[in-house]
Amino acid sequence: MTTRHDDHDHDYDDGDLDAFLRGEDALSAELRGIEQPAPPPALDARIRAEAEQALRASASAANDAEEKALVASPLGRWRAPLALAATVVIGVSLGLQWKGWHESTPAALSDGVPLGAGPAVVEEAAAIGKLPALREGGDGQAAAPAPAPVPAPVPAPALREPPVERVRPALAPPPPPALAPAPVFAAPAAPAPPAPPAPPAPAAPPWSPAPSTLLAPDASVDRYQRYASPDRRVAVAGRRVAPAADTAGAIDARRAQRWLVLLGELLDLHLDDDARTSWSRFREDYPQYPVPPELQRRLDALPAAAGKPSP
Amino acid sequence: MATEPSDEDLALRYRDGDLAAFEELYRRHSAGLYRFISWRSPRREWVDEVMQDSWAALHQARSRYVASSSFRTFLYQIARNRLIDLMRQDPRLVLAGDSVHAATATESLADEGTPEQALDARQQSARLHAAIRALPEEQREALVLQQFSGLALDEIAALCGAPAETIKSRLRYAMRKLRAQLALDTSREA
Repeated sequence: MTTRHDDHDHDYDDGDLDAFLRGEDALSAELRGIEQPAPPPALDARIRAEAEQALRASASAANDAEEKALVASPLGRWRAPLALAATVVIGVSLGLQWKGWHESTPAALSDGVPLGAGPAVVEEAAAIGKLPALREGGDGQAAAPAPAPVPAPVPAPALREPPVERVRPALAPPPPPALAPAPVFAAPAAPAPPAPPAPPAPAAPPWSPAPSTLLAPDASVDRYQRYASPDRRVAVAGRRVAPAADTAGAIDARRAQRWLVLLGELLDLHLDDDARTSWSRFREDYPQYPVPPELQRRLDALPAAAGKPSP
Repeated sequence: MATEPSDEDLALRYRDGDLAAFEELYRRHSAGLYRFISWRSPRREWVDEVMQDSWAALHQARSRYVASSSFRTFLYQIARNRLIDLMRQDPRLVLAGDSVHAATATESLADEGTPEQALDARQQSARLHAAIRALPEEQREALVLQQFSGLALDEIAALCGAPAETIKSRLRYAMRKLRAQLALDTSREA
């Protein structure tokens, strides 16, 4: 039960506590005055040096990844400009070819297919039976099951072949049976000649892989994981360096013990991927080292990475 | 006048590989973190080890840092977890270590050759050390974080996983107990 006295005491306490928290009362002043532990300069230096080395190692690893990405493709950074140039060349040559085709195309054909129409329009025209009629000579016998004489994927040269005289009559009455050969033209729609918009497609990939390679989280995780190894000589240099005075046994056990502590830390931070990688490395280095049951249980409970069974 | 970058800005820069940002973060927080570890660690020999491992773990975890959380809480949480792990591994060491830590603190004060004017201060300091160590663990932790490491109430709450009011309450109890203990010591001396 709260009494009036308690309330007063609480209010007093709150004011008192606020002064204590702000460091304005006598007790907090005394607390500030007591001797406090401070990191030894040697420890400071060690931590700073390790951080610097680790950052450098990370930077060089990133550079390596970048170089690798460039080396992986012999074209390297020229891929994008080359793709662009190729697009332009293809586009221009197609344009010229198209123009040449139109110059040699009879007016009769222009009646059926709009001038400047691309292959898609040609296909459309074919689909409604105009173009097959050209090939059948315009003698009105389109109904016959005539095999398509022209290779489908190259419609433009084929269109130039028919004589002009036979075009007109054929175009005038589009006989229904002329629809039969239409599939011959319509079928090759998929392998149609390269349309101008198509070439940009290969130009896109050169941009995307580079950043994703450089920023791939897996690569970063790997570097951090190496640093997480308790033996910083291994972590920073990326290779094992025999310590001067370390005679296997005790030092090795100590390293293993610290490694296990770090593994526990990774699990606490829910860095499962890192923990899994570190655990694999630990087992490579210490296949027989005993692991505390609790830690072992937590490690066993880690979800397995895709395609990587836990050790 | 240029304003100093926040811890969170520095942490993001450090995440991207900026060594100067790390140096600044270390300058700001190494002393507070070391105090926290020292007061919280049951064994003196663990302190340097935990300190070093905490910064190494920070380096490893920096890519996961997001500016939405306090950097200080992030850092202290790493050290706190490490200590908890160590203590969990062998509770016997923890019990044995308490006395080792106490003895070390007392020895360091006793070894100090000071003039007579400093005698009272040293005695008072020793009394405070003893009174703080006598506090329940949760109250001691809150007191150390607030008074010695300079964390705000909400940061301590986030670190300890308790509501801010609970932390305030712990601090209130700690403050009362310390005052009572110091008053008792003073009356005994008188």
